[in-house]
Amino acid sequence: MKAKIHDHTLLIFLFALAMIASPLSNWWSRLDLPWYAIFIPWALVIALAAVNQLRGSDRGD
Amino acid sequence: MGIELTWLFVIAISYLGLLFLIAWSADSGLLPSRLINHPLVYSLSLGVYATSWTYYGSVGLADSSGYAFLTIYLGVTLAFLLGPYLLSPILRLCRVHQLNSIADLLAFRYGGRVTGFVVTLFMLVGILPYISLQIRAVTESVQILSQQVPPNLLALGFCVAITIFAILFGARHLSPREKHHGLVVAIAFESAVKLIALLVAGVFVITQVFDSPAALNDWANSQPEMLESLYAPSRTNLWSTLLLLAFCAAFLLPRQYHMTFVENENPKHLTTAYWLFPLYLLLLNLPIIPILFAGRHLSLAIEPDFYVLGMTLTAGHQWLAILVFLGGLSAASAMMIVTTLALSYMCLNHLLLPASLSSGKPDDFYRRLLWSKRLIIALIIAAGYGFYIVIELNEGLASLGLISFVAAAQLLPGVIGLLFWTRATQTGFVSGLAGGAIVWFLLLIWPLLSPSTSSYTEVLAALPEFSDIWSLATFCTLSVNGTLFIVGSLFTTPSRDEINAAEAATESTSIAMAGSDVARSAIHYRYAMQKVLGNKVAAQELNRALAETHTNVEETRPADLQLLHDQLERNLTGLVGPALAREVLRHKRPDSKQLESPDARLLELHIEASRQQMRGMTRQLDDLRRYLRDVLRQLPLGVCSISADGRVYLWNAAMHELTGIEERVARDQPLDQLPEPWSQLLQEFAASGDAHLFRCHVPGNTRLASVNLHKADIATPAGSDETLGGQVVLMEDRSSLDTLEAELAHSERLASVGRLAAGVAHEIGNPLTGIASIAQNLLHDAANIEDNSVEIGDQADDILAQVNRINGIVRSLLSFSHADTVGSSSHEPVCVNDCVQESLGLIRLSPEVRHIHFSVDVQSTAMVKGDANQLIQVFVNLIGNACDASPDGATVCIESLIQDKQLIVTISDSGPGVDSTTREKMFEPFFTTKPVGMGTGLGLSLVYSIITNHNGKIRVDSPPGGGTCMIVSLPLLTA
Repeated sequence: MKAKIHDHTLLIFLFALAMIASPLSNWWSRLDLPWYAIFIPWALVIALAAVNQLRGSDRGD
Repeated sequence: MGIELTWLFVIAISYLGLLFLIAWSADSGLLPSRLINHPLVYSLSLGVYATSWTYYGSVGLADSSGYAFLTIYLGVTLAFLLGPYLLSPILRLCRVHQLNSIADLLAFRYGGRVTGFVVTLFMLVGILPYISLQIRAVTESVQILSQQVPPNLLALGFCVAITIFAILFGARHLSPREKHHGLVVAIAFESAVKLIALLVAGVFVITQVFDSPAALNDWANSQPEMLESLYAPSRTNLWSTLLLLAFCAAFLLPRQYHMTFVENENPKHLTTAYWLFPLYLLLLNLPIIPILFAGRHLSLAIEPDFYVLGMTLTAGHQWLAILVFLGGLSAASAMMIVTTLALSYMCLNHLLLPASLSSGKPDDFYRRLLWSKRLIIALIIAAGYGFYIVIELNEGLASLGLISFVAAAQLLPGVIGLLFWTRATQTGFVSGLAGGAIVWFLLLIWPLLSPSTSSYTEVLAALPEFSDIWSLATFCTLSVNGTLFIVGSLFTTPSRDEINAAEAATESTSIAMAGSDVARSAIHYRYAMQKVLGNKVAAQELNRALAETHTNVEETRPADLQLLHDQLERNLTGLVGPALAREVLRHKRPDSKQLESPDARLLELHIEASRQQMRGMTRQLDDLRRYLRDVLRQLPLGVCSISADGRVYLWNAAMHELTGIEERVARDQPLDQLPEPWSQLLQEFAASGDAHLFRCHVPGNTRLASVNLHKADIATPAGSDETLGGQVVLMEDRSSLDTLEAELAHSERLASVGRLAAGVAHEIGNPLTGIASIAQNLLHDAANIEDNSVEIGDQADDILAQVNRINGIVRSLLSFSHADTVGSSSHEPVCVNDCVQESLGLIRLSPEVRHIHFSVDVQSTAMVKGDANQLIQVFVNLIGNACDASPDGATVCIESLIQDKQLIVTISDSGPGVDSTTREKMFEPFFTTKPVGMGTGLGLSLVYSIITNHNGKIRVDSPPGGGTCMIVSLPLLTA
C-alpha cells in the first residue's frame, strides 16, 4: 500500500517537473498569459499532493 | 511621513517580547498540547524558510528577474513532493540516532571528526552572508520607515536583541535531545504574521492602489512587454539553477534541517507538510507581483526590495507600515534565531567539544556545555554583523541569500551518497566538499572582498557561456564537488564504521548499528566515559541509559550490553554529536590497541568482510525459514509434527480449528498428554504401520463426523539434534465430504423413486384407459336400457370420476418425477396461478389435509419464466409444510402481489411459527423439525435451489404471536 502512495508521489513529482521545468513550461510561458497564470499549475500540484496524502492517511499508511 | 525611531525600537522589542511570551507559554504548558502538536503549527514553523529575502527581496528579484523569484519556492515544493523518498529517510535517521544537525547527519555517515569539522566550518562561513542579509533588511526597513539614516549602532542593537532572544529561545535547555516546543510555536506565529502582513499589503494594493482586481489586470495587460519580461526568465538557465538551489536549500540549510527534522514531534506531521508547507509558500508569494506593479505604478523612488514599505508610507497608512515592518522583523528574527541555534549545535559538537574534551579537565561538564552554546550563539551573530559591515553589495538582498544557497547545495552529493550509495567514503565526501567550497569562495565571495573586482560582472565576462553568475557558480561548484566525491570514494575503502553507518542509513527499518564493540560489563562504559566527560557526568549518563534500557549495572550478557551500548551512543550523540559519542565509547577497551599491527588489522578486515557476507546469507535463510513456517501455519489442512521422543513439535492453525486444542497447549506435549479423544487417536495412528487412515470416526465428537489421517516419517537432519526427526501427521476434515455424499445418496434415492413412479404411472395408465372406455360404454348402454338405467348411469359416472382422479394422481406423479431432470434452458412462460392450483390439487389428495381450508388469491395473469413442474414442486412443499403446521379447521392463505417487477407469493399458516435458530437452518439440507421418518429435511433445500435457479428469492417471516409466512419472489415476465 505504501509503495502505491510512493508511486503516486513520483507521478505528481514528474507532473510538477513537466509543468515548471521542461519544454512544456517553455511553451506555455510564451502564450501571453495573465500575470497570475503561473500560480495555477503550482496550486494544481499542491492539490494533487494533498489528495494523495489524505487518501494515504485514510488507508492508514 | 515617517515613524519615530524610538517608536520603532519600542514596537520591535515589544514584538520580540510577545514572541518570547508565546514560547514561554508553550514550554510551561499554558498553551494546550493539541495546539502545540498540531500539524498546522509544524508546517507553519517550516515557514522559517521565508526570510527577509522572501519578504522584501522577492519583489526586488521579481523586478530584475521576473518570475525567476518563484523558483526559490517551486524548488522547495519539488523537494517536499519527493518527501517520502528524500525527507522521511532523513527524519528516520535523525530520530533513531539523535542527529541534531546536518553536520551530525553527515558525520554519522562519513564517520569521524574531520567530516563534522569541515561541514560545520563551511556552513558557518556559508551562512554568514545570509545572516548579514537579515541585518541589512531590518536596518534598511527602519531607515525607510523613520526616514533617518540609522547608524551601524542600530544594526548592532538589533543583533544584541536577537542574541538575547536566541539564547532565551534555544539555549535554556541543556540537552538538544529535548524538543523546543516554545520555539516551534513562536516561529509558527511569526510565519503567520508574515503571511497576514503580506496578504494585507496585497489586498491594499488591489483595493487602494489599483481600486479593483480588474483595474490591476487592466494595468498589467496594458503593458505586454512587462508581462513578457516576467515570463521570459522561465526559459533561461537561471530558472533551472534557482530551482536546483532551492530544492537543496529546502532541507540542507541548517535552519531548515533543524525545524524539519530535529523539532519534528510526529513523522505524520511531516507527511502533512508535504503539501501544507508548499501551500503556505504559494499564499505568501501571491501578493509579490501586485506589490511590484504598485511600486512601478506609483513610481516609488526606493529600491524595489522595499516597495512594500514605500507604498504604505506613500498612502499614509502608518498602521499598515507597522504591520509590514513587523512581518519583516518576523522574517529576519525567525531566521537568525533558528539559524544560530542550529549552527551553535554544530559548532559545539564538531568544533568546540572535540578540542576541549581532549584537553582534559572535564569538570562541570553540563554547565560548561550550556555556556559554550550561549557564547557560540553570540559569536555567530557577531560574525554576521561583521560580514554586514565589511561587505558592500549593490545587487539586492537576493544575491546575499543565493550565496548561502550555493553553499548549502554543496552538501547535496554527500546526502545523496548517504541515502543511496553505500560505497561512498569520508575521503570522497570531504575532498568533494573542500573542492566545491574553494570554487564557491573564488566565484562568489572573493569578488565581493577583492578591491579589484566589485561585482560578478568581470567573472561573467571571463566565461561568456553563462548568462548569470548563479548558473556558473552552481555548475562549477557541483561539478568539482561531485567529481571529487565519486573519484575519492572509488579510490578508497570504506571503514568499518562507514559500512555500518551506510547499512543503517539505507535500511528501511530502524535497526541499531551492527558491528559495534560491546564492553564486557556495563561498568566498563562508565570507565570509558569518565576519561572524557568526568566522573559525575559519566555516572549520570550510564544511569540514564541503564534506566532507559531496563538493564542492571551488573549485566554481562552480550545482547543486553549491545542494547545498552546503542542507547548510550544515542544519548551521547544528542549531547556531544555522533562522532565524539562513538569516540568516547570506543575508549572502553584498553586492549584494543593490541590489534593495531598491520597483520591484525588485515585479519580484522577479512573477518569483517566474512561477517558481512554471513549476515546476508543468514538473513536470506531466516526469510526462507519464516516463509516456510507461515506456509505450514496457514495451510488449510491440519499439520502436526511429532518428534522422535513422541512430543508435539508443530501444531498449525488448522489443527487448532479441527481439534479445539490451542498450539500453546499442544506444543512440546507428549501425545498421551493431549486431551481426549485426540490423544488416543493420534497415538494409535502414530504407532500403526499404516500411512493413511480413511473415514476415521472421532468418538465422542459431535462436530466432526470423521477425519482422514495421513503420515510420513521425517529423517533427522545431519548434525542436528535427534529429536528433530519423527513423523508428520496430516489431518483432513471429512465432515463436509460426508454431508455431500449423503446428499448425493439421497438424491439418487429420490431419482429412483421418480423412475419408479414414472414406470408405475405408465403401467397404470394403460389399464386405466381400458377402464375408462368400459365405463363410457356402460354409460352409453345405460341410456338405452329403461330398467335401472338411472342407477347404472350413476355408477358409470362414479367409475369415470374415480378414473379421472387416478389420472390426476398419475399426472402429478409424472410431473414430480421429472422435476429434477429439467434444466434452466427449458424455462418458458408459466402461469403461477396454474402452478398453485395444480399443487393444491396434489395436496388435497392427502387425507391429512381434508380438514384444512385454503384461501387462494393469486393473480391469474401473473406470468414468470420458469419450469412449471419445478414450481409445482415448490408450492407442493411449501403448502404441504403449511398444512402440516396448521391445526384442524385452520386456513392456509396463498396470496400474491406484484411489486418492483417481482411477483411475490406468500403462503401463510396459523401454526406455532418457527424460532430464530430454525429460521437460520431451515434451508440447509437434511434439516427437519419433523419426527423421525416423517420428513427427509430436503424439501425446503430443494425449494431454495429451485427458486434460486429461477433467479428468485425466498424468505420466512414468523411473528412472535405464531404463524409462519413463506414469501417467494420471482421475476415477473415482461412483454
